[in-house]
Amino acid sequence: MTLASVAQAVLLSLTVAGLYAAIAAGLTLTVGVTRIINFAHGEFVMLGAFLTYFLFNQHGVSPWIGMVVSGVVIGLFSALVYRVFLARVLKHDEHNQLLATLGLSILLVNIAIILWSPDPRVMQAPQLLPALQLGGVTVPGNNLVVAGVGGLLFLALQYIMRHTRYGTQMRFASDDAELAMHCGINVDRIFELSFVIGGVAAGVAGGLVALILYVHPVVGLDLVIRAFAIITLGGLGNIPGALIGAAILALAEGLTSTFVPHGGSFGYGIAFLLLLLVLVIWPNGLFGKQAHS
Amino acid sequence: MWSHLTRLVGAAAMAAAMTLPVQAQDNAPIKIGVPLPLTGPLAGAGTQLQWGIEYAAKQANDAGGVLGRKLELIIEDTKGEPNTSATVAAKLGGQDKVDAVVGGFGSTSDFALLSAIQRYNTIFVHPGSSSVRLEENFGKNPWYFHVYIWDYHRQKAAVNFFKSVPDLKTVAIAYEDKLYGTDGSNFTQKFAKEAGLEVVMNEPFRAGTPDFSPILNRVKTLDPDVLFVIGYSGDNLQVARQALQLGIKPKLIVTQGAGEKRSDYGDAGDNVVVLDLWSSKQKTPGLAEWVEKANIARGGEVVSTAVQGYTAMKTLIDAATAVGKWDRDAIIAKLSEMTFDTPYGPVKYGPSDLGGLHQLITEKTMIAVQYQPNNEFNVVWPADKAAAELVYPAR
Repeated sequence: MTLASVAQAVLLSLTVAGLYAAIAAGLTLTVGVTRIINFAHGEFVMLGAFLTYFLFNQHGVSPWIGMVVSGVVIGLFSALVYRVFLARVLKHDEHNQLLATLGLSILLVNIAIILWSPDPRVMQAPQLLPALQLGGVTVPGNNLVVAGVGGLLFLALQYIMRHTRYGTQMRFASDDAELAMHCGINVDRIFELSFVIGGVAAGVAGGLVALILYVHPVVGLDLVIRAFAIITLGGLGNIPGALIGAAILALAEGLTSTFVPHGGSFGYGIAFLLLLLVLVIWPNGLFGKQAHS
Repeated sequence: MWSHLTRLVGAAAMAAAMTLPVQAQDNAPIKIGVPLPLTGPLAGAGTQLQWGIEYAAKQANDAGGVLGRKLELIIEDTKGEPNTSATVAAKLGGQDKVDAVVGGFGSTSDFALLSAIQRYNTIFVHPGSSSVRLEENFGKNPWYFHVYIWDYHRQKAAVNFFKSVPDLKTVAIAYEDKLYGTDGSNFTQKFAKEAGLEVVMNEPFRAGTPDFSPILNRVKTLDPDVLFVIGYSGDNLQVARQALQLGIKPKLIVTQGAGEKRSDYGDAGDNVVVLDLWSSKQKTPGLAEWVEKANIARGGEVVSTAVQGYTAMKTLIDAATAVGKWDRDAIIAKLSEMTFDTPYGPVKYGPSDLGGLHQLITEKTMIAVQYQPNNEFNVVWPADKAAAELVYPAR
């Protein structure tokens, strides 16, 4: 183990954390505000990845623009899903919501398989930024993009939640929907807004997936499992918690894989063991509301 | 007299009526069950196999059918799920009463398919699935014919390929950590040891992982003569791409073909070697003409999986034709002894290592394809099928 190998592992893990954070931030916002456990969030990411991929491969659209377009399109798609589907389910039992989003997830995966086949596709995009070279350490340019965009997405969501009227209303509705309604807040509209913002984040995160991973119909499944772990670790609804949770998970995976023999297999398990330990000590996650109170 | 004539006509009519079903049966289509995963995660391979099976059947039907009877394919979607596969098997065997089955893909679901269908003793020609559990459980049945390789054939071929490269002594293995990769790693280590090769790294990874840098950095330190990746197509692509991005250049990257295409790799694929069952560019007598016709019929490039389906169907058609009538036992005997002219070259069913009676493709059929710049590729091993020399070391 050398300093360079440690630095390499840490830096690359942090760029992967950017991807995890981008996916988890949108999910934690949706879950925190609407209380909808959206299993289809991973498929929103998958659709964003396919959109960015097709825009680049078939129309030569830069992945920078592709990510923005994906964010907008998946945001609109989320609005559609919310209005025609989830708004009705929200009025019923929580189990119905779980099954509904799980069903939506399976439906979207199968539609993607029918439309685009299960084969993985690689977006042969050029490096959008020059690689970072520090002695023997290399961080590819597109990994830097992922870390940067993941960070920007986090800052944008934080700004919306902390410094805008809608953010205040979202937090209010999240704390007590009934009281918020009595105070004149259109809770249904606020829920929809938070779901759409989560969708926009998922679309942008999909663009990041296309940039450093590969695109296929089930790419969202594994990523959304990590995202659920991250938001549980960070505390449901807590966006900074999602960022820190993503960093913890990615570092646990990356460092175990790098420095423990056969760690590539159980690095993922170590990350979830960490999650279990945290939940035993802080049942609401590291930054969950009740933990603070 | 009239009454006598009436009796004669009546008897003739009855006799004619009695022979009608026999004649109808003689001309009735031969029913072939085709269970495949056509939706779900395995649908990609399933639809390729379906095309190959249909193409072989269409060729036979266009030429007047088999033994003067048309082939009727009863295609059923197993979804790659065990429960659905068992239901499909009961329908094909019990309700449709098919004359033979050509299909199956996905080891887990095919285990259920075969478990359910074995009670019908139908001839079963199996173009897909490689788990040795299938070989151990069903391979000894006289009605079971397996086209695709078993798990260990790939690893034997890989080690045979490594042995063919002068100066290749050390092997680093990166494998996906479930059944497919773990079995592959175990067999590779076993065969490599027997061949006198040193395995300097044997690292698992989780399929779909976004970051292969831990494995690639170890490879950089160890500098093995070959990095052998046993993963799914997405993993193979990601390893090659990340190696390029991180500037890590192993002497040679070898992957097991899992459905990915040359174009999927882009520049990252240059000099990567893929072990596969078949390539349109391999030197096999008569292959160029077959590929040309098949590509036109397909409306695109025919891939290896489609050839598996085609070969499975063709062996059944050829055996039935050679027998001269639809006689189950005689066809089984003919399938067991005949040599078939296929896109792989001349092949015949024979015993396999873990007790299987009828195995068509083995490590001897397999090839190594090396990707070249500008989206090109060429077969580089074995020598009798190679169209180009291996570039080694590839950095």
